[in-house]
Amino acid sequence: MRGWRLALLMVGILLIASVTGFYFISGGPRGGESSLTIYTYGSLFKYGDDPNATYAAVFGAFERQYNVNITVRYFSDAGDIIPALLSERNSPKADLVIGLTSVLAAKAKQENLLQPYAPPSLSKVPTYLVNDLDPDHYVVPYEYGLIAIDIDGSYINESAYPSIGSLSYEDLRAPALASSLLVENPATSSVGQDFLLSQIVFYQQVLKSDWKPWWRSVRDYVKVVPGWDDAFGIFSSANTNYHMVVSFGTDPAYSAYFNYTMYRTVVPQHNGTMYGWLQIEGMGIVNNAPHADTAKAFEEWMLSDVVQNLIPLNEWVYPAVSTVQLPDVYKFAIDPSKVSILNNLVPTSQLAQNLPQWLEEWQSIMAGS
Amino acid sequence: MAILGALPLAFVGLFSYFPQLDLYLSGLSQGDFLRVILSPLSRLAALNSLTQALLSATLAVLVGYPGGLIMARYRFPLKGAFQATAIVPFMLPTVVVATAFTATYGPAGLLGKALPWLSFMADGFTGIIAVNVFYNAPLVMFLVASSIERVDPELLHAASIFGGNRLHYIRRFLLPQTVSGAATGFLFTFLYSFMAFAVPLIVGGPRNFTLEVQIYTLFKQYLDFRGAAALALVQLAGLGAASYFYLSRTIAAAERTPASTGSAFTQEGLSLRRRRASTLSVLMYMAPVGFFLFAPIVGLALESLSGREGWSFDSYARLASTIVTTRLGIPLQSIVFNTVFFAAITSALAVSLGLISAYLTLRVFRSGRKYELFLFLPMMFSPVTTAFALYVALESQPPFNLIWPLIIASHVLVALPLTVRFLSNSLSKVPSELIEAASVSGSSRADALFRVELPLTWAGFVAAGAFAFATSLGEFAATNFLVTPEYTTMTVAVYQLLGLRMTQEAYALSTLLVLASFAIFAVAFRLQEELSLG
Repeated sequence: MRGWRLALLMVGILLIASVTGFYFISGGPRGGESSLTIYTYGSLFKYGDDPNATYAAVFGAFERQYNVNITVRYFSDAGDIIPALLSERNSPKADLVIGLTSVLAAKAKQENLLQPYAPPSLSKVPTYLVNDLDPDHYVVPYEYGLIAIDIDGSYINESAYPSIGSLSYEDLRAPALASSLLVENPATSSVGQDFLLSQIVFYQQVLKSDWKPWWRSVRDYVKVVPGWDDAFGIFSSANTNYHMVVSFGTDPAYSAYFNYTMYRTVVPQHNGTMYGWLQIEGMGIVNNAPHADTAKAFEEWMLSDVVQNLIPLNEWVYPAVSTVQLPDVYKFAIDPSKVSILNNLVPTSQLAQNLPQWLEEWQSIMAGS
Repeated sequence: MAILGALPLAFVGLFSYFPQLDLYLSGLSQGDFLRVILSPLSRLAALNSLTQALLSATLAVLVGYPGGLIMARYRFPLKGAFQATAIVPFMLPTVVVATAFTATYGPAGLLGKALPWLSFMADGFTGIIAVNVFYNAPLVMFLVASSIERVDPELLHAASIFGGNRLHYIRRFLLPQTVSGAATGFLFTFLYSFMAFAVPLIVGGPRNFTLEVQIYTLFKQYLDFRGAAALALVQLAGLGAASYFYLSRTIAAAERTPASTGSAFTQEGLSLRRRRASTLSVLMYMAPVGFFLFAPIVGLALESLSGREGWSFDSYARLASTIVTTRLGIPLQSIVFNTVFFAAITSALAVSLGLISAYLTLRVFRSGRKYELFLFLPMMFSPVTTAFALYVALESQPPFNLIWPLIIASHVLVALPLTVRFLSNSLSKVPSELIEAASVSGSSRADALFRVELPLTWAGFVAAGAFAFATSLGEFAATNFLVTPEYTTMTVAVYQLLGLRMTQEAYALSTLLVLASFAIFAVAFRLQEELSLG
């Protein structure tokens, strides 16, 4: 009898261990002989009708064509990729990184994590996109989106706000509008960071004035949340008093395609001109990548018509290659060619250099100073 | 004993200390520490964390404590259901809770529209405290309940001597016993609130940013990895020192309160019907607290049912449809399976390791508190750095390259301190006479543990398992970092649905998560009741 219950406990632990073992055997080993490892953000090509089919069309097709085995490692967002690359600096596991924005690209360059490469099809990408991301081609663009503001027209419309169609940053300073606005926190969110950058560049370069008073006027009214998911969740909830949210210029196309509630989407204006900010997404070859040649071929594949055509309905942003025919629903989206692009006014390297100080100033303003 | 005792240490060593130290200590210099300590933003963050944590912990204990006494003392209709409801907040994703609070108490909310003064609960600093109390008061309740001495029914009748003077009984015996539960509840609420990330940001806004937020910001937005590591270590040292002090003084003293059969008191539960005065006071507590815990959950369910064109179950129908699961890239049943699988293994591992640790801390080791602290520290690393460290150190080593063992490891690390405390809390209340009696009668230690001690500590045991389960169900940050598409959990899927702009479906899935876990917990607590009585 003695100790038999202890034995029972041990059996229990063994049982758990074996169930665990079974689960992982049935899961099957992954990786192994792969010859191209890609690091990217969690939602790459996941916004379409059928992300598994898109995966097959992007990665599966390349695997067959080049007879390679691709491992895609998803990170919750692109910001996590740089520290992962840093920790593997001495023996890189990744060959290619997809999804770096200009600020992340500058950091990756500064840490010497990437090697420059210009795929042949980069010639089909507008020069300003290439230069706004990285003129030295350590990171090259494959897509870009436009930061915009979604407005729920059933609450905020011309009857109460006649100038809503030509909304400006100055209009947003009014407490009535500011208290309806949801903004992503630039200290935690990449969309929030892009919105802050666009507001700073607009005030500094277009209005030639200080960017900080705007935030001081709105800080007691706007709702600042950690990420886009949180912001849009609150915005589209039934019982909310926030009816404007910082989001993307392609949102109306997305709503139309999936038959979701249509919101009105605007880019802030000044003297009749829309001033917008592009979130340019790029890819780069890892320094000392084990399979750099395959990675280079994949960069070219990302700029091929096949993959570029998948971007509008699966990423819901614009393909970098300008000759790609856009789907019909894109007529609802804001056309970036009609927007004055703020990214072009300041070199990326300068933005990346100033960002820490701007963030610190922003945090201090919001904390009440 | 030594081998058994080494198991929990080996676990936290492999999954926390080895990866974290490997990550943190590479390339950190004195300058990094000075830089972050001297930064006014770090100090503001530390101050925010401290204020929020102290206030939340105090209020959570005030709100939860009477509930613990009631839960342990009285039998009442739907008790299992009340307990199961109370544990639900613990595993809800933060964005869901924040939305539920806004949908309930906000200016445009269900109650907020009629009672605008309630909106303090949905926004700003007061909102953070309200949500922290919502998350943690139930934990205090369970800890207090599980710290109340459980005694064999036969000894119970001897207790009738106290019948004449209930106040004396309460002051002399009942309250001292519950100090360890309340103190433990305070500690956990303090730690959870101090290290909170999403609640202060979503509910409170950017001015209420905590240290955890500042670490994340340094890491993700400033791309200052060494600064982030230095600040995380500073936070760890501060919280570690405070917790050690607290564990070795307050909690150790409370657990030393001699348990004696003389204070024997019913585990059978008093029926409420017989005492009108008690019934009234219990109701006066249960009504507002039950409402506070229940209203946001109802708000959440209503949110999933209220479309722009009125009420409907459409979001549930869409959730079950292939359109949604195709867009998620993984069938709903796999998501549910993953979630329950991770939670079950986490619960089993955390309770087994926790039992070993609690037993050794209380009965065998001299320096038990240091041992306990060693198991506590891993939860003071932010979940994202835990996940990142696990990824860097172990991702390429089979079997961890399968990812899901790492997900479970990250869940167990967070749940382990809770299970250790729950079990230690209730084991310490087993009357020493009973243990001595068992050893005199020739039982081995293990035999005494399984035959005498565990049957008397069912409440703590079940609560430990339930909270470990809930911790795993609700864990988001580490899971979201580690997860690969095939291991998507319900909490991760809620965020993915929000990302796909299927807001209502996200609330519907959260409501299903609530209902499913409610069912599991209700069965568990019902079983516990049966076991305690039988």
